[in-house]
Amino acid sequence: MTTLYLTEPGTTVQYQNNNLTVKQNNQSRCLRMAELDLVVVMPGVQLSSVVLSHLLDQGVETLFLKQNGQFRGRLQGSFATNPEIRLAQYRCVDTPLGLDLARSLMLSKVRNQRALLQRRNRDTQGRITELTEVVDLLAAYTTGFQRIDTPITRNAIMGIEGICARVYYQALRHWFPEDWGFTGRNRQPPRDPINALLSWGYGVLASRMFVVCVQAGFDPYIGFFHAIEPYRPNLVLDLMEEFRPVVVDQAVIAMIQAGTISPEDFEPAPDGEGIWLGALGKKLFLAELERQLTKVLLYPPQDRRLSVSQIMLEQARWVGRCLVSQNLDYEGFGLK
Amino acid sequence: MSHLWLVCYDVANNKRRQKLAKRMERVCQRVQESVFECPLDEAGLTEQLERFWLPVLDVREDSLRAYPMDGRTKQRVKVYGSPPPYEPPDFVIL
Repeated sequence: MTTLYLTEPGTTVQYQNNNLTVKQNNQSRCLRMAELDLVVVMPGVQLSSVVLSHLLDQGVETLFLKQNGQFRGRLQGSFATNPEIRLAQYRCVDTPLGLDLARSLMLSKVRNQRALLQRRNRDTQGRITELTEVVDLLAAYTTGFQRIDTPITRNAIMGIEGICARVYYQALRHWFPEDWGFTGRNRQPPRDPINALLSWGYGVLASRMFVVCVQAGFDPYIGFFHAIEPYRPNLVLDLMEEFRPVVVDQAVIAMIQAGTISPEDFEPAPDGEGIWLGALGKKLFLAELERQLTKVLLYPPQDRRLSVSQIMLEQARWVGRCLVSQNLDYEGFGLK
Repeated sequence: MSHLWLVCYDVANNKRRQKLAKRMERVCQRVQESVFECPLDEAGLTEQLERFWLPVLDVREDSLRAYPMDGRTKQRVKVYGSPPPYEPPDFVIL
């Protein structure tokens, strides 16, 4: 099945004969509707009303992104859904089970962050002292995080998560050549190219996770760690935590290492503050994100090989089962 | 679920044959002169057949056959001297 990204402003899309005809710059390309399972639309693309009705009727997931990679919305046709899962989700907000789940998701994120740094540490044979220290530090935090004999508070989770994130992003610079000027995470707006990539990538991942949340039967707006902040898809943010390093950070590392993107692919934001990813850079990055999402890995809970995007859905379904059965046997997905 | 059909035809008349081929090319992949691979589910194939392909044919003289291929059959296909069976791309960025 194919994911179609429409990134260029001025593109028009029409429907004919079970095909989508995509026209841009006097060129046109045909795609078979039956093969599409996801269409991602960036601003400035026109979909004819016939296209919209076919996307809705044939249940092709259609996502709209903002220019900065953030989620804008999606087409929702009629769909099969299980209210039982949503009710269980509402019941678990602010319960010990909900918090344990939040802890579990965060723990898994930190583990995956550590796995990425550990790889670099092995490559450099432990010669970068700071890197080795951070790898050990994250290991210490994950063991502390794991102890489930005592109930945990949201503030405690947030505290540990905050420290881990800071040291992780600082240590991540050892993956990148110095001239990229990355020293740690900053955002709103990102102030260097690597941060621009990370922000954009997390936006795209959140949009994909939004779809997963709906497919798994959840209300995307009610979470456990990010909880119930208004106007924010809190559950999406919760469930994507463990996949940030797996999908986005790995994609950024892969691109910088392979040299497929260079500082010229970025431009200063129009208001002069922060740095944006340019049009070509977005296409290249989307391709790399897709490569990460379609990568096939062993999924130990089911002992079979699944693509990362399928694993995202399976993990979300597992969370659903935990909530319905009121029993936390969830295990985060771990990078090897 | 996506499916793949192997569709082949014998059409006695040049004009009808060209017309049919043109229509099939819109949704199928041509693999030989009169053999196509069509990535359609059964309903999709039936729709194409009934709305677009059969009206072109004269079934007293012409014939058309469609064989279903599932995932496993597809992997066992043996191909010499032409591209392997059609696989949709994982992603397209336009």
